[in-house]
Amino acid sequence: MVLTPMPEFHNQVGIPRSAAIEYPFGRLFGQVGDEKGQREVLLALLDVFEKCQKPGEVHHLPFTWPEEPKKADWQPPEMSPLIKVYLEEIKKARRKEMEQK
Amino acid sequence: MEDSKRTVDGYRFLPPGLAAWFRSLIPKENFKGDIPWTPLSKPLSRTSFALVTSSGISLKSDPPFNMEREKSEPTWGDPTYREIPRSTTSKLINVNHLHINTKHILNDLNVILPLARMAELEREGIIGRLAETSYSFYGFQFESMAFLDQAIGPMAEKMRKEGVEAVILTPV
Repeated sequence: MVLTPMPEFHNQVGIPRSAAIEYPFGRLFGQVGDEKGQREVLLALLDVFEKCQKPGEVHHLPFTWPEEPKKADWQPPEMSPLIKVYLEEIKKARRKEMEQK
Repeated sequence: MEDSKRTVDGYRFLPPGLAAWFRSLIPKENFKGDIPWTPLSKPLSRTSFALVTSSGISLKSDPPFNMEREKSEPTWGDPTYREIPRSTTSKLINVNHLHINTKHILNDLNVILPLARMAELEREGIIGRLAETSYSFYGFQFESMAFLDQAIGPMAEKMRKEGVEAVILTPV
């Protein structure tokens, strides 16, 4: 069972059972010190274990992160080496999307 | 719990440029190949679990994941793994990962590897057992055969020895 923050990506690799959650990368069970919230996510995940009946199922969990994405603070303090390599491609993809809007 | 009506938006926490780049790379169609499947053989209350995360956690007593080589070879990720005993707490770990902010995991291991929460569910009889060992590897692997040999194979072997029947994987 994979608990995924990005089902669009993980749907590409053939995972037997997935639960998707809209939480920031690196804190998929919840906020620091939030034992109750972590437990709720874990129980929901275990529930998905029993619901899945066939390979490739993805169940979307109902939880909402309490902060705006900009305040989630999940990115590394320094840009990762890979992003530095592909920075121009990233900017190009963004420009293309803006032009299409 | 009833099935959720919401659809998770995996791009929501990404900055706009990164989201646009990912959208340009990820095909619209889902995976079409065969997917492995092992049905649950018994209720969760009698099932043995292990946790696995790709968040680069290591015990302070073990070598950390190699960040320096990745800095000079940006498409290389450390292909090794670390064993994380079930009694591990945040005070005992290092986290090395160049793609996320690691401070949250350092402050509370359970946000990505919920060993304490699983132990509680074990005591309550909701799960059968949390195995002695859980695992971490480094979540940036680019078509790496070394990763299969140096991490996946040994982790699977150790899980078999410890009688693990179900695994929860948390990627980053």
